[in-house]
Amino acid sequence: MSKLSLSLQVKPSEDVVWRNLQGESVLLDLKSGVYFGLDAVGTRIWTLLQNHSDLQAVLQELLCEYEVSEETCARDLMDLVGAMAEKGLVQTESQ
Amino acid sequence: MYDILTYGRMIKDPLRFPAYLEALRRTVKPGSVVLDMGTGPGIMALLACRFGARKVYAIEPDPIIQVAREIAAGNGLAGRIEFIEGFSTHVSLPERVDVIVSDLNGILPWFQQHLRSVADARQRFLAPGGVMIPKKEIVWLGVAESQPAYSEHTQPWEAGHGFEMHAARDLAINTRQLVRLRSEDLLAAPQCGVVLDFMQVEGPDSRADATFVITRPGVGHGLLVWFDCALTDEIFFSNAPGCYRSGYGQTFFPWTRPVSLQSGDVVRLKLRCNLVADDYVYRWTTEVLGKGEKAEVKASFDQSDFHSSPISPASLRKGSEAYVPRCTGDGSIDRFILTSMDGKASVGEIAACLSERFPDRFKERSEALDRVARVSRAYSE
Repeated sequence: MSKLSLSLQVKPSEDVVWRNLQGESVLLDLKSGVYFGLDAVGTRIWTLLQNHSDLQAVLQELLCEYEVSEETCARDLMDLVGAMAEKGLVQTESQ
Repeated sequence: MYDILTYGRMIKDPLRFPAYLEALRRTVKPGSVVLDMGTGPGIMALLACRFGARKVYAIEPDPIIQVAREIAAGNGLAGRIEFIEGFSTHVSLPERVDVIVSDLNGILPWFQQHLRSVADARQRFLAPGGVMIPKKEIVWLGVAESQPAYSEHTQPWEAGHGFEMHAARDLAINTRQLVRLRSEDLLAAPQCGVVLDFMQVEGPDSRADATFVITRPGVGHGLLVWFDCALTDEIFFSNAPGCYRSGYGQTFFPWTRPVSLQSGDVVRLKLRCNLVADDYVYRWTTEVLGKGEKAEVKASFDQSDFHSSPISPASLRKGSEAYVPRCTGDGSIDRFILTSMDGKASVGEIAACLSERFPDRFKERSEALDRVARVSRAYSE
């Protein structure tokens, strides 16, 4: 796993299936059989990661959608991506 | 797991059963020691004895094993067949065996603990030079055209009596089903997806990738999967399209929408099968490319039966890693019963204590007895 930064390319793992349920979602890691829950914002980030592997692009989308400072948004995004990378839900690569 | 009529149908299956019979006849030698995994009513164990087995260990978790015991006794074979109630992965045997026979497939080899059990049994029970029946299973993939099969998934929710019912269609389109198609229903030559060699298989999970070049123009409705079962090097049976005599059928994985396919179009399929808890989650991805240099993407689907069952967000959330569970009232009742199962108190005594502890829930003694009996059946020895 590359050291986390906004310049990373992030891709959902091929071993993860996910299900959106009324705005929240549950991810299932098929390799480990472990379920992970995401709240509404986490679900939005996961959805964006399906289309954008560029974290900077994801951040810009989030800033357009939520009233939040760039600093806070970037920190929360990195925290979530870091947690997901640690659990193997996403793969990260340097650009 | 199965009712007696289903066991009867398995024994009457005109393809599978004669193949097993012949495989046992050729493999079991006088004096052989045989393990029959999932013996059901015990027919394989009986046959192994007929063909000369000195000893048969017959393992079965289902209460049908009582019937198997009676049948063995009725045929004078109780002394040669040792019936063991339980899952093979939880069992120890006093000796290694020369032959392991199993018939634990569903309509696909990826069925509950089948592959994990086979791997475990081979490693722990099979003697050097021993034989596994089946020897291997070859899984085939095909691109299917079948409006009738597809309609089962979509038509009830698209007609809708004037209502928009996509929420139901989304589940149905991620649901696989047993079908019995013909070889003419395939739009390209079948491809071997994976070979499961029972002498080597280790884990329960598999992946099968295949690329097809369409040879017959038509409408693609989904992925079709079946398998050839090689009991030995010479004895096979198959549930391929057109094998109507088999009790098995094929598994149809529908596509999100039908795709018009021309000769020369390319279809790339990936099937992932992962054992999660006690059952498999299937994921099938499809990419359809038009023929020619441009290779336009005509369709791209990513589907899974993870999306196939109606489930509440609360229920799924409760299974997620970070969820902090708190025991409900019902859970407290079962916890009380489990704690009381100390090897000293009887079911009746526990039921009496249960009624006293939860008087609002158990007004009748029979209610408490039923509840304790249910837990006792599941967790006592």
